[in-house]
Order: sequence, then structure tokens, then C-alpha cells
Amino acid sequence: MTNSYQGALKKLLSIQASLDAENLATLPRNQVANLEKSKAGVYSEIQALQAGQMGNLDSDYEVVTTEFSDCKSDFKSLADWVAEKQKTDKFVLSMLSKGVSLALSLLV
Amino acid sequence: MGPTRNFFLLLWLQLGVYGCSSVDDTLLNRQIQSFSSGTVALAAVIQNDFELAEKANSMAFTDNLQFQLELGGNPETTLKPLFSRTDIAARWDLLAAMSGYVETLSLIATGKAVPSTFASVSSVINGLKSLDYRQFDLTHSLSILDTQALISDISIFQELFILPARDKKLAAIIQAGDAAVKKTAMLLYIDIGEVQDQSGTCSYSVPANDTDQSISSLRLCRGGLRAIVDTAIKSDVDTWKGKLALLKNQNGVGGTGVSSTIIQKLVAAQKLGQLLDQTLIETQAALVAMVGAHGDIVDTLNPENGVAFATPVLNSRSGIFLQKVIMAKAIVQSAEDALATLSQAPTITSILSNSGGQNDK
Repeated sequence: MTNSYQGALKKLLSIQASLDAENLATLPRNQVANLEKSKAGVYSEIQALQAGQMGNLDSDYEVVTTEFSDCKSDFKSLADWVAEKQKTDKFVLSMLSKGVSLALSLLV
Repeated sequence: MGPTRNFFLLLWLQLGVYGCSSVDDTLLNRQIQSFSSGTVALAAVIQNDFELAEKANSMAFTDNLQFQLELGGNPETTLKPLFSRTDIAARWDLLAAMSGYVETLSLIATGKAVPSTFASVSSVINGLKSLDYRQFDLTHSLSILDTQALISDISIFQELFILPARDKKLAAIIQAGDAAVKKTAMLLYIDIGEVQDQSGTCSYSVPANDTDQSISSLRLCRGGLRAIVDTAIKSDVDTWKGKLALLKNQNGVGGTGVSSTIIQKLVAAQKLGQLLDQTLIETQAALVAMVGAHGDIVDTLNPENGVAFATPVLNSRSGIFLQKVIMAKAIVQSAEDALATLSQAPTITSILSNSGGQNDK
């Protein structure tokens, strides 16, 4: 894929360079118009080819998107765990405090 | 004294169960907030990079179309968008997922509740698009005031009982996230691409063992946004050269007024090309820095990695990331302005009429 793409791109860039090298000042107006039309055609092909190549990464993007979504889901579970832990630990601490207060009052 | 001793014994056991935290949670929070702010802003910059490429393509097409019509030609008038809906959706979905990742991470770091439902992808993307670069100030992420707020958010209770256990669980998720951040940076870096082949064995794809390779090891072929913008600008410059050549060849229209207008446009297009390429290079640099900033979070959560705890954020990879994003968003704004100005290009007819009718009719 890479080689065929590179080959096509190099060919198109070479055609573009040769079209751009034409001296417009020496050509009749109608020929300049035709030349510009050809340049526009080659330009569109180059851009379509370059943009199309980027499309080959779409599936990689989808994989990483899923990985982030999984992480986000794990974060949510962690947040739930923290909230639950806060509740139970506060309860345990409050029980401990009461026990200590009771013990200290008995000691005094 | 028995019950008191028992209390401290229980407290010690409790800490032992959770494991005494060796993680610097204040530093961790600062790094996470910096990473979060920088990543959301960078996502918006990347969206604008794609839009700049579309606009540059559109400008080159329009200027050439105008030239052809002025020549009396019969041009193709349909402008095809560069990217398909699927291509754009794949990238926007990832940017939205990454923004969701950092926002959730940020909420966890500050101990705030994570909402059960998140904004849809489209609303995240619209939110990113609506960011105003002139008003979106990232420097607040480095302020001492914010740091103080974060410190005061961490209670003694959390510090003793919740954070040590949370950090252990967080470290595992962040490790998985680190691989995703590296892949994301690499994919977007490749998407932004290169103007020239970097080597004879260049490629366009993420290496198979991508998480072990750094972005700097990539050897890209010509391609991506930089190549697209380069093609567009070269085409536009060629169009202006063509107009200049034609005017020079015509009797009476080679006046200084006409020529200088064309020459100004010709030079402005070339300068725009340099600015656009620099914009894309800055985005690539910010992507590299993003990986480093996330690495800071990984290291802070894994103190056994041997990283100094008290590294100031400004001097750290997190700080560098923010600086790169600030640079990228500033330059992308300049590029947008320059492109908008140049896109309002005059026609030869309007140039001639403005210069006092020095035409050859």
C-alpha cells in the first residue's frame, strides 16, 4: 500500500512540477486556460491521494478511542469505590472515637 | 492506657491495610490539572489544524478557479472536501474520548463526584470548537492560587485512609491510559505528517510495538496535513505567479500598481505557507510534550520509579507541555487570521479597476 501510494504521489508531483514549469507568458490565452485546468485536475488528485492515505489510520483511531472509554469506565468504578470507602471509613472512625472516648472517660 | 494504645494500634493497622501513601498527592493533583487543561486545549488546536488544511485547500481551489474564469476557461467548479465524514468522525471521537478521560481523571484527583452520564461526543466536540483562543488562558494551571485550592481540597482523613488505596488503584488505570495517550499522540503526529520523506525507509503507520517507541523515532513519508497544506500553498503561489506572468506579458498592464498588488499576494501566500507549517510543527511538539506530561503522572503514582517528588510543575514535563500548548494555540490563531486575510484575494479585474483602468482591453 505504502509503495503504491508513494509511487502514485511521486508521479503526480512530477507531473505537477512539469506543468508549473510552463512559461505562461509565451502561451496564448486559451492554452493558458487549458493548462490551468490541467493543473487544477492534478492538484485535486494529489490532495485526494494525501487525504485518502490519512484515512488508512481510521481503524487505529477507533481502537484507541475504545481504550480511553475503558479507562473512563474504570475511573467511574474507582470514584464509586472511593465514595463507598469514605462512608465505611468514616463510620469505623466514628465508632473508634466513641470507643476511645468511653475508655478515656472510664479511666478518668 | 490500654484502650488508648488499642486505638493507636487500630489506626496503625488501618494504615497498614491501605499502605502508607508514598505518593505526593498534592504534586499528583497539580500534574493532573495541568495535563487536563493542556489536553483539552490541544484537542481544540488539533481540530483547528484540520480546519486550516480544509481552508487552505479551499483557498487554492478558489484562486485557481477565479484565474481560469478570468482566462475564459471552462473549469471544474466542484470543490470536494479533503476528508470524508468517517475520517473526521474517527478523529473527533478520539479527541472527545481523550477529553473525557482527562476530565474524569481530574474529577477523581480533586475528589469530586463523577457524573453517571457524560456529555455526548458531539457536545464535547462543539465545546472544543467554541473555545476562544484569546480568552482561553492556560497559564492559570500554573498559578499558586490553584495549587493552594488543590491542597486544601485534600483532607487529613482522605490523606490517611482514602488516598493511599485510591492511588494504588489509580496507578493501574493510568498505566493503561498511558499506552492510549502514547498511541493517540503517535496517530495525531502521523496525521499532521511531513512535507518531505524523512528517510528512504519512511512509513505512514504506527509501528507494531508502538508503546515502546517514541515519536521521535518515527521516520515519516511525505503526507498528512503538512503535505496537504504544502500542496495547497504551492498551488496558490503558482496561481499568483501565473497571474503575474500574464500581466507582465500584456501591454499597458505591467504598471507598478498592478504588479505590486500581485506581488504582495504572491509573497503573502508564501509567508502563509511558512506560518501554517510552523503551526502544524508546534502541534506536533505539543503532542510529544503531552506524552511526557502523562509520564509525569505515571511516575508520581509510582514513586519506586525514582523520580524526585518536589519537581516544580513549571520545570517539569507537565510545565513544558502547557508551554507548548500555549505556543500552539497562539500560533494557530495567527495562522487563522492570516488565512482569512489572504482568502479575500482580489481578482485581476478588481486589481485593474483599482489601479485606474490600466488594462489591455
